Amino acid sequence: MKGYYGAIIATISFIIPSIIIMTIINKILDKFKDNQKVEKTLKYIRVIAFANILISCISIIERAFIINNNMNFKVIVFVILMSILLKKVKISSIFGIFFAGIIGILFKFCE
Amino acid sequence: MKLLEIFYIFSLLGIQMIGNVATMVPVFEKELINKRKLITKNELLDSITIGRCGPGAAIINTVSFLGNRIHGILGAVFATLGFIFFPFIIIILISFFINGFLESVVIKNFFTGALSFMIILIIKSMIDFAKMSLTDRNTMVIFIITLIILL
Repeated sequence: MKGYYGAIIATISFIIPSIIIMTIINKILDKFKDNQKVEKTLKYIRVIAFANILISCISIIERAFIINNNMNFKVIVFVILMSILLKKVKISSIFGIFFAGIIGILFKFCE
Repeated sequence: MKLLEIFYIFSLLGIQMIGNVATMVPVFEKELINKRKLITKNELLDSITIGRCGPGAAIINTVSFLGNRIHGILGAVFATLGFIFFPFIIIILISFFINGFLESVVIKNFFTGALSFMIILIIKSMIDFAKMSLTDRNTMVIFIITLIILL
């Protein structure tokens, strides 16, 4: 049971329940698609989900901007410069992530 | 839409998975809504909502819901498998030299850099979603109450 087979089996069995449950929920949602009450409920649930996401975003921003209880000025300057650059040049997000990571290594963002 | 194409699209999304569901919102938005037009914004918000409610990992639920929307149950299978494909291989590779990997300063610097790029995308898509979900007074009131409870 050890080794790669273990890894593969464990990962697949972790995702199977998700797929089954989401398929069932999807079918049910499709059935009630035109129902006014369901539509209204979903509208308000979306707001709550948005608030949820917003809070985890704030905690992620906090994690990047604050290091050892100090403001991480390197990261802040990088974010500002990068957002100005992104308005002018369009780059794909995969390239952007690796580019930013290499900049992070070069300028030692964690110190 | 072929199943292998779904696998390919979601495997590209899987490489960009840094952080949690929130950091994936801008990436999904860019790739699935703006570029390929496979889903609508409302569907994305629904999938994140339902993914968080359901049992299991939130991001896996979200991805299988999206796959379902695109191409039924087989779409869900291929989307989820595609999404975990590269992270799986990367983790297997890392397991060879796990000792000292997470403590490595170089790796920490890399992820801080990558995260700071994600922040730009996150802020953009948060503004987008705020415009879309906060449409009238009722939604504003619910939003503020939820924020107060969660903070």
